[in-house]
Amino acid sequence: MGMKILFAVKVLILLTGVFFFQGTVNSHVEQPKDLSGVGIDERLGQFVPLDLNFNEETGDQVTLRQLIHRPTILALVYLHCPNVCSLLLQNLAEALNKLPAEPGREYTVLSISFDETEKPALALQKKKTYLSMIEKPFPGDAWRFLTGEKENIRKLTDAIGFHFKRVGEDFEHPVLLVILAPDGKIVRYMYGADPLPFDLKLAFLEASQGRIGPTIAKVVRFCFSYDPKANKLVFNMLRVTGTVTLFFALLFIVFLLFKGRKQHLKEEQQE
Amino acid sequence: MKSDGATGSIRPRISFYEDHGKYRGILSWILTQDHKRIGLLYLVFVIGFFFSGVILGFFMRLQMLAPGTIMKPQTYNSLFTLHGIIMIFLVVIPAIPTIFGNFFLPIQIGARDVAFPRINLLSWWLFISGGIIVVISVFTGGGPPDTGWTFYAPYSLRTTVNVPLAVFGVFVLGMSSILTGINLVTTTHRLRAPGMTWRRLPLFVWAIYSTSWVQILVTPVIGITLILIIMERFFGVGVFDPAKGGDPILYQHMFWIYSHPATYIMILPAMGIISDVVPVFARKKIFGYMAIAISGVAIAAVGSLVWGHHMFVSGQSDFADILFSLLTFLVAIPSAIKVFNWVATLHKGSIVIEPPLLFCLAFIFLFSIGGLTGLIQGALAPNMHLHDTYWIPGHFHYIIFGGMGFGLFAAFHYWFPKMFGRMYNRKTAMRAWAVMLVGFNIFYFSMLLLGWEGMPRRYYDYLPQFRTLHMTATFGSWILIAGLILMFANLFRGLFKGEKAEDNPWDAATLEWQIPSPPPTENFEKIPVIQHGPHDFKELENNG
Repeated sequence: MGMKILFAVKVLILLTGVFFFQGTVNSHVEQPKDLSGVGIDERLGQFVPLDLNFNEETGDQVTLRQLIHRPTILALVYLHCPNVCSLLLQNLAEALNKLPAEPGREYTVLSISFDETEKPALALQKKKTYLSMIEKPFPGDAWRFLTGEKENIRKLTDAIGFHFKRVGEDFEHPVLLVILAPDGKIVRYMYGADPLPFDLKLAFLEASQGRIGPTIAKVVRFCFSYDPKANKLVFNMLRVTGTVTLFFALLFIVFLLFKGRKQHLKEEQQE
Repeated sequence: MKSDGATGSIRPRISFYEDHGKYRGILSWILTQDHKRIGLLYLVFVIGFFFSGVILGFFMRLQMLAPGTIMKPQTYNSLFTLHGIIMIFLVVIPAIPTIFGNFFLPIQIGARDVAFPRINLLSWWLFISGGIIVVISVFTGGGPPDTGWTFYAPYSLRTTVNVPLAVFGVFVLGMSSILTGINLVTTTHRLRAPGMTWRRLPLFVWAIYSTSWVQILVTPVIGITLILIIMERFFGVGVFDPAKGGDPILYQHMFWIYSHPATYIMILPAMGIISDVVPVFARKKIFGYMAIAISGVAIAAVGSLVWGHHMFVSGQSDFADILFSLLTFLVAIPSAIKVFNWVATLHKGSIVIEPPLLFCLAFIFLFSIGGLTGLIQGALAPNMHLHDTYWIPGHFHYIIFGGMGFGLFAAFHYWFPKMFGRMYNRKTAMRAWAVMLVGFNIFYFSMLLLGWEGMPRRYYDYLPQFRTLHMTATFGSWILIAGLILMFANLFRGLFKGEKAEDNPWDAATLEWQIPSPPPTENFEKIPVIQHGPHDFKELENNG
C-alpha cells in the first residue's frame, strides 16, 4: 500500500512538473495560428479601408466611405449559404426589430458577401426577404447588401482579421457581426449567430463615442461541416473509457455487497 | 484548543486534539490519518478559499456599481472565472463531504475511522495540490484564466492566458474527489456498527453515500475532458476545435455530463444535513424516512441524466431538447418530496428555535425559490429568453449559496459544539442569520429581475436602464458580506472564548452526540450496538 501511494505521489509530482513547465513555455510563445485558416484575429481599434469599392443591390459602384457615417453593423456572409449565414441575418433582422434605436439615423447595417461570384441581383432578392422580416418601418438604405470583387473582399476581410476558405460551392467561415464606429474603426466583435438587441445597443453607445468594447462572449462559432464519422476514434475512445469506468464501478459495488461488513467488528462485539 | 471533553458518567479520556499520534506540531495535522483531524484540515482550507471567492465576488459587484472606473474588462473576465473556479471546485463541491463527511460519517455509523485512512490523507494532499496549482495559474503564464469556470471550447483552446495549468489543477481536485467518494462508500458498506441497518442510518449518511457514488461515476468524465483540453493545446489533437475537425459541442456535452451531476454533489449533502437537523429541533421523527433516503438516490440517478438542459441553445436536436427538459422536470420531484417531508416534520413538532434550525429554515425557503426558478428555465420556451442572462446566476446562487451554503452554515452551527467542545454565542448567530438572509435576497433577487429584463451575464458593462437593479444587487451584497463576517467572527470567538459545550447540547439521538465533545481519537471506547433509528428521541429520554 505504502509503495503504491509513493508511486502515485511520484507520478503526480512528475505530471505537475511537466504541465507547469509547459504552461510557462506556452505563455511566451504565440498561440499557433489557425492551421486550416478559418477563424478571427481580432483587430480591435484598427480601421477598415474605406476606399474599397463594392456593388450596391442596384449594381452601382459605391465606396465604403459613402456608406459608413454612423455606428455600423457589418455582417460578412455569403448569400447562398445553406445554414448559419441565413440564420445570422434572420436573427439580425429579429434583433433589429426589437432594437430601440432608429435605423438610418442611429445606425446602418451592411451585409457584405465574401463570395466574389455573387451578383447584385441575388443581393437585391435577399434584401427584400430580410427587410420583409422586420415588422417596423425600415428605410431601404439603412440595410445594404453589397457584393464585390475578390481583391476588395480580401482587403476588407484581412483588415477585420476574418479568415475563411472556400470548400467547393460553400465556405468555412466564422459567424459574427462586426461593429464599426462612424470613422470605420473596429469597435467590437460580436460572435455567434444570434445577436442580442442588448449587445447592439451597447455597441452603438460605444461606437458613437469611439470607445472600443473588448469581446465578451468569446465563444467563436463557425459555419463548418462536421463529420462525426471522421471522429470515430474520439467517440470510440470515449465509449471504451466510459465502459471501463462503469465496469469498475459495478465491480466495486458487487464487491461491497458480497463482502458485507468487516468481520472484526462483529468479533469485537462478542468479546 | 484543549478540552477535557468527556462529562457525565463516561470515564474522561483525551480528545483527538490532545492525541498527537506519531508527530508533533503541524506534522501531527498534515500527516494525520485521523478522519476528524483530516476533516478539520479541509475545514481550514475550504474557509480560506471561500473568503477568497467572496472577495472576488465583492469586487465583481463593485465593478457593476460603476462600470469602467474600477477595473479593465479583462480583469472582470478573470474575476468571474476565478470566482467560479474557486467557489465551485474548491468550496462548494468538496466542502460538506470532506469536512463533515470525514468528521461525522464514521462516527454516525459507529466506526472508529474511515475505511482507508491513508487514502483519506492522500485525498487531502491532492486537494491541497490542486488548490495550489489553481492559485499558481492566477499568477503565472499569460495571466489568470478568463474563460468562465466552464472552460468552453474552442475559446479555452485559444486564449493565451494560463488555462492549461488551471485545468490541470481542477483535474487533480477531481482525483481527490474520486478517492474521497470511494473511501466514504466503502466506509458506509463495511464499517457500520452492529445493528446499524440501512434503515437506521442517519439521513446525512444516506446523502453522503449517494453523493459519493455520483463523485465516483462522473468525476472521471471531467478528468478525461480536461486532459483532452490540455492535449489539444499542447499537441494539437483536434477533438474540440472545429478548425481541426473537432466538435465544440462534444466539449459541452462532456463538461456538463460531469458538471450537472456536480450540482447534485453540491446540494445532496446539504439536504442530508437538513434532514438530520430539522427532526432534532422539531423533537419528532423525520416524516418519511425512506422517502427522503430513496429520493436522494433518485436525485443522484436522474440528476446524472439531465446535463443537456445547459445546452438548449447550443444546437442539439429538438428531440434531445425535449428529452432533457422532461428529465429536468422529473428530477424536481424527489427534491420536492424532500421539501414536503421537512415541512411535514416541522408540522405539529415541539419546535425549539436554535441557530441550526434557523439556517435549515432559510435553506428550505431559498432552495424552494432556487428550485422553482430552475423549473422556469428548464422549460424550453422561457429558456430561450433566460439563457445566459443574470437570471441563471440568480437561480444557481439561490441553489448553491442559499441551499448548499446555508446547509453548510447549519452544519457549522449544529456540529460546532461537538467538533470543538465549545459553544458560540447563539444570539449573535441568530442576528448574523437574519442579516445574511436579508442581504442574500436583496442581492440575488435583483439578479433574477435583471435577467428577466434581459441583462446578459458575464458582461462588464450594461445599458443605463439596468442601473437601479445593479445598484440594489451591489447594496445587497454588502449586507450579505456583513452578515458573513458577523457569523464567522462569532464562530471564531466561540472557538476560543465560548463556554464549554455539553456532550449533547441539542439532545440529538444520533451516535456522534452520545460520545464526548470533542470526540476521543478512536471515537468509541466500545463499538456500540445500535437498537433504534436516528431520530428516536423517546428512546434517548428513557435511557436518561
